[in-house]
Amino acid sequence: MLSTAIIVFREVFEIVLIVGIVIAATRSVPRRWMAVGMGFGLGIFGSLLVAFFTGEISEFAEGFGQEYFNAGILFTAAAFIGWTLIWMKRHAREMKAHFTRVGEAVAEGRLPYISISIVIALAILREGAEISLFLSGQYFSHVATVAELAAGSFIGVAGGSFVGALLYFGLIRISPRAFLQITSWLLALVVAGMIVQGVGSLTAAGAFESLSFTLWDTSWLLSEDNLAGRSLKALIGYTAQPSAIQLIAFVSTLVFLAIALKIAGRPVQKPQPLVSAE
Amino acid sequence: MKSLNRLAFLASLAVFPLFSSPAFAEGDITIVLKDHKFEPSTVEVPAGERVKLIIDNQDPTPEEFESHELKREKVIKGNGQGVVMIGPLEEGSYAFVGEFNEETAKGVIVAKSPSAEDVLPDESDISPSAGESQSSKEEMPEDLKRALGTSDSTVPVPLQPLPNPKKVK
Repeated sequence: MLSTAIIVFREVFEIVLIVGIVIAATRSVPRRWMAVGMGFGLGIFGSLLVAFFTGEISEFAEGFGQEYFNAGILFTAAAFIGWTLIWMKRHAREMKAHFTRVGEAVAEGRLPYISISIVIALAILREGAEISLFLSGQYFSHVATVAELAAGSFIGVAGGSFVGALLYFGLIRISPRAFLQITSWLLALVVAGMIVQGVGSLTAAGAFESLSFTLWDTSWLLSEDNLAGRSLKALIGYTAQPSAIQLIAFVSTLVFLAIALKIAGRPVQKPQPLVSAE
Repeated sequence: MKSLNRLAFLASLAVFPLFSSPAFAEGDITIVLKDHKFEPSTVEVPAGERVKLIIDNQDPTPEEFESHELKREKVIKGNGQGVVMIGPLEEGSYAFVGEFNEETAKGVIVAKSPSAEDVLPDESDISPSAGESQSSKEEMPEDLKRALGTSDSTVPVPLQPLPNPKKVK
């Protein structure tokens, strides 16, 4: 039961880090809980689906289907978070100015809802598939009874959710002035981290061969095995032994986002509608 | 020195782009997973080469082959096989585990350089282009490394005939 709890907690923990930040960062999007709920539903369903088809996914691309699949998930999630980030920056002024009309802004964009759902679903899917594989393995090999697995999972999920709640409430307590700044940077780092991990997956499949050499090793300082290392890995793509291409990907993603946010943050002169409503 | 090694490796790829295509000279290595244990649990691979590992999971349950040191993570379904490509590795040992059964499923990859004894230090008094005459891929970075690592001191090397006459007297 304890080993089940530990493994489940570990995976849930990685999920809640991303999900907690995304939910907190989008708090000015009205009725976002609907999108969050949708994301959870899709994510859990997707996890089961991916777990079920693990073998089939693996066999693609000469045995590297899993690597490409993971990279695809990470890049997609990164793209949607980046997109949301830029959207929020562009609409930040409107959101502050006329809070009531944000609903219209969201409706006009439509983006945040879909984006929030997709990002949460993908974050859950990645680790959730591992949880379901692990649990099914434990069950079918009769290592643990259903009751033990259920209890272990419950402890793991509860523990992970607790961490997620702490993160969420910690973030939303940040003063409104600094909030957007801090969450923007956090999300930008999350995006860069996802790109780094995606690039890592592609490297595992044989891509970027000439740039896949290791740059340095900080495992003596912070191992990826402990909780701090895992957190940093999930958050900013921490790798004790990064490859050259991973560093390049990390830096260029941040530079790209910084420029995109700068442009998005510029005041926009909206053209007046030619025909006024009514 | 490590960073120079990488620089040299990169340089060697730039100079000899043909060698950068994957070469599976050593063949594939199969690691069997049974009863949540890897067999063999110590796997020797040549350093500086890409090696294809085939993880043959003979347990009915899925397992995740994971190694932070190798930067590899792969889920293998029950009674299934997974391909893990590793390398080129520097000499050393790299631990791996089966994440779902970490207590029993563990092993280590040991990368050894086959050409370690063949390299003679005296060959380095020539410019990097000397590497061209050598066909062996593994020795290339070594040569370049030495050439780069001692780039300050290699300049005097061809000039050594100058101090020599003094010694002769």
